[in-house]
Amino acid sequence: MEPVLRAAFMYFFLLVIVRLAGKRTLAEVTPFDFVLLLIIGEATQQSITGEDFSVTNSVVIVTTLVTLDIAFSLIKQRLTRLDRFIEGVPTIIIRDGVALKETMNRLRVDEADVLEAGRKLRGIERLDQIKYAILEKDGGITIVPKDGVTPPSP
Amino acid sequence: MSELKRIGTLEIDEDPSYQRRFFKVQKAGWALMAALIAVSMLGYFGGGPLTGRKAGNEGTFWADYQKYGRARSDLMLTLHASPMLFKGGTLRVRADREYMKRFRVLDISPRPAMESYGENGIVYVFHIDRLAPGAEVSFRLKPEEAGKAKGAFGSGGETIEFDQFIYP
Repeated sequence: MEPVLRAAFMYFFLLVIVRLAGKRTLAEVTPFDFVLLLIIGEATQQSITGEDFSVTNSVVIVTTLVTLDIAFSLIKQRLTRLDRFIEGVPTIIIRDGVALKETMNRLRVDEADVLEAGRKLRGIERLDQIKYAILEKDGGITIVPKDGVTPPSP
Repeated sequence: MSELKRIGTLEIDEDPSYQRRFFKVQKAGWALMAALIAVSMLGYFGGGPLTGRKAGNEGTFWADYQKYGRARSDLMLTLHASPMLFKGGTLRVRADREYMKRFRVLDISPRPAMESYGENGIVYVFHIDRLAPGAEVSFRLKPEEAGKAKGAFGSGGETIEFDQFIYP
């Protein structure tokens, strides 16, 4: 019973803390973010497995985590509120070339991030070429260019 | 699935009012995380300035113990005894059996000359120099389970009682 409880507790704890950390954290994984994720993984692993390094314990823990994830994905499909809490909602941060400053500050995104995404995805040169910029649920930035702005050839 | 709205030419499941509410929850979460770090630094989860406590009759028989500990993480307990508790060059300390059952004893320093299981607990006997100004016995314990632990030690007619909380 204990491995199941430990795994379930850490699953919910990580779910909440990653969500509270905000989208920016996972928007673009920097080398330091990657190191941080490894450290978090290491710290979590110790508390989930305890002193039991048996194959049975690992099987129980992995099964618990994957089952919880499947169960959550099924529940999220039915419960919009839960889906919003876990996944968040997409947020418009640029509208008709105008940066929505307050929203961007709260989401910890700045114009440079939007322009970077615009350059990479759409060959955007200036903010006023953007019709919409959206911070998506997964932390990525989607750019919808104004009419007449053509994406760069690959 | 979230409901799609039309904003200009864009179909999107944006919800600004939800987003605003979530920002507030997020800020409260950050405050909670900061509070958790502060409380942890103070030692409320063990190993900080507020976790070290004293119990017993200071000057005769008393203990320096940690009020908060963590399961499977070392916990130190030091018992102090004055010479008035020495009998025939020995110090006898009785530890509550139920309390000791909750821990794995990793080390006792100095090592007892004898351990015996009595009706009320485990009795440790230490050889003590007659001229020693007092004795100090340290236990390095590893809590096996989380929850409240009620410590009880005795020597001569003196007793020490204290409560500990072991976090999971």
